[in-house]
Amino acid sequence: MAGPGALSGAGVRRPLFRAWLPWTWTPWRWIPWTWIPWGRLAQLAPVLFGIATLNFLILQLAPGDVVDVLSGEAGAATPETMAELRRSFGLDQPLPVQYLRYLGHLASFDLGHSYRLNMPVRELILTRLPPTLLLMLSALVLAVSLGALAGLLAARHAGRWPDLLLSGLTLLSYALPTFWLGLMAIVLFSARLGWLPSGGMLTIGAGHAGLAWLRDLLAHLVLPALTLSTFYLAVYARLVRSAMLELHGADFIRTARAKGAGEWRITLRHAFRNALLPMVTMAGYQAASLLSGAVLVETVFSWPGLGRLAYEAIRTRDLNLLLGILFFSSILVVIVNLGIDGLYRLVDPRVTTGARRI
Amino acid sequence: MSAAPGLARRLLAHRQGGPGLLLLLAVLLLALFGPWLWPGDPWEMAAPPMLWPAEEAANPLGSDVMGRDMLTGLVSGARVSLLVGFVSTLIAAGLGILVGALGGFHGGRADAALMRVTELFQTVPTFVLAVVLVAVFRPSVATAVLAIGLVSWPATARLVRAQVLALRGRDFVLAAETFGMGTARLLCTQILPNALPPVVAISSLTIAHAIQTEAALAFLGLGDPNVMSWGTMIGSGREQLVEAWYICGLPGLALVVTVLAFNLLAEGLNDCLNPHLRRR
Repeated sequence: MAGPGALSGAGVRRPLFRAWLPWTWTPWRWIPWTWIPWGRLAQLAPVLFGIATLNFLILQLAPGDVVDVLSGEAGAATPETMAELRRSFGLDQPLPVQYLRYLGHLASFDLGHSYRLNMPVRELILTRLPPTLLLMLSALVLAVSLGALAGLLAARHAGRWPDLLLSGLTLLSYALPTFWLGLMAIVLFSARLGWLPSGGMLTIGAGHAGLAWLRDLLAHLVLPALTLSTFYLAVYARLVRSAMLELHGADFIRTARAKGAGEWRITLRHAFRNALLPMVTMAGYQAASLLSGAVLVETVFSWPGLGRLAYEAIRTRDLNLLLGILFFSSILVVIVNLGIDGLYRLVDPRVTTGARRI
Repeated sequence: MSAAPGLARRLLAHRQGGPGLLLLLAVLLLALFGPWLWPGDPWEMAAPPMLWPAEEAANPLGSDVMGRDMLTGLVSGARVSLLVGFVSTLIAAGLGILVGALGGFHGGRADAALMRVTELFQTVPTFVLAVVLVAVFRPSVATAVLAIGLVSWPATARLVRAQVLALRGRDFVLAAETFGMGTARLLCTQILPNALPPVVAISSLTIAHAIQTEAALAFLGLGDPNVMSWGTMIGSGREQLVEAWYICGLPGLALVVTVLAFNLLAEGLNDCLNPHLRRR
């Protein structure tokens, strides 16, 4: 125990401008360390390692080697130049050495070079990333908001026609192939009705600025985002419906009703807040499939994102670029999952990060 | 298999299983007897190009931009879709049962390692992985089947693992173990027969997903260049989407019907094969 004198701090000489001195500047104290999901970050490493190994395996099992593919693209190459290329790629080394070199490249985020487009794969991917993120995020927001609304309505009218209509539409949207739905949406909304543009992200050569630019972007975004969200919308609607019905007889709902709360207030403030939890969990599961869907939707709507890049890579048989996209999109899924974990803590304070498995 | 007629009757009476079974039967009949009813090569020019449906009696569903008969193409597509769906699901179910049963039975480190691999396959965007596999190993029906099978086993593996974990400590399993049954025999004769019913239901969903994946691959130009599938038809009809939307529309409708059939069937199987639910 310190005496009363220690508390007053009378004998301690304090530097006057302590906060200004660089070596006393402690930004790490401002970071909420306990918020960071350490357990999940530790799980990240084996996943990345696994994906890298998978990529290497695919490359090894592929007919021919990298140089065969490259020289095949370049036309007839002499055996000497091919041997030279193999040496420069390290293909004359034993397999474990090749593997370690490959891991090293990926660890430094060096995804190689696209010989077709003559650019580093990393740069290609990073320039195509923002449109994909925009598309995925808008689809997710649409699916969550419209799905929750539909689910709420169905649960309030359980067993009556809005509920039956929803379950019919849900079944249908589970069976609709995304790319076909997108094509049919183009036929209807763009070709027949002429309401929305059929593809691209911005009107080429329009040179819009400010609000006009934003409106142009949104007009191009509506169809792809709605197409991508259809399936997930049905999933969320079903989820919210069953969660709301499950909560129907819960004690705290009865308490709220006994207090005299209105029916909509009970639905939104008491029941729906709890129905949010399974929705957030589901969003985590769907990150990977949303990215898969984006590939097809971007192809249909010429949306200049990662999926469109993948399609171009397929067309030109740019395998290295394709593998880079696979590696990068897997990392993206892991990052999204980390974000969802943070969101989970925000929605439900009872959750600790260590408790939840993937 | 003595339960099969009873199961079929229960399925037909089921609210979702019945329509599913009937739709599936229709697609199966189209795939089996279509080639006799409408013979011909789906790649051959058989009519004037861009004939609309119901315009010409010889080509009831019209023709595409190359004058290829749409109906012959749809029949060929049904065969491809069902073939790819069944075989790739067979592969996926085999892999899933193997991984899930071994992990659930042995537990411990083996289980942890196998679950890590399962999680890895659930993290990777499966369609992108399928695209990479098919593109690297050259597009063909065989590579499509293998790639789809390879990316769709994790759900089955998790289900089987959970089932095996639940059955592992039951009295009849412990009794069989006391008799001196080996691991393989214990799994095959005692645990798996009791664990399989939900696997059948989830396999129906896997088939539906596999058919969609195959169509998507073919749509991206990764289909077998010698085989006419629904995805190929949709992909080649894209150029004439505005003038002749039926070229994309009809194969897509066939796809929706087939996938819907398997989804409905999965719901029916889930209810009919689960004795606890039936008793309620």
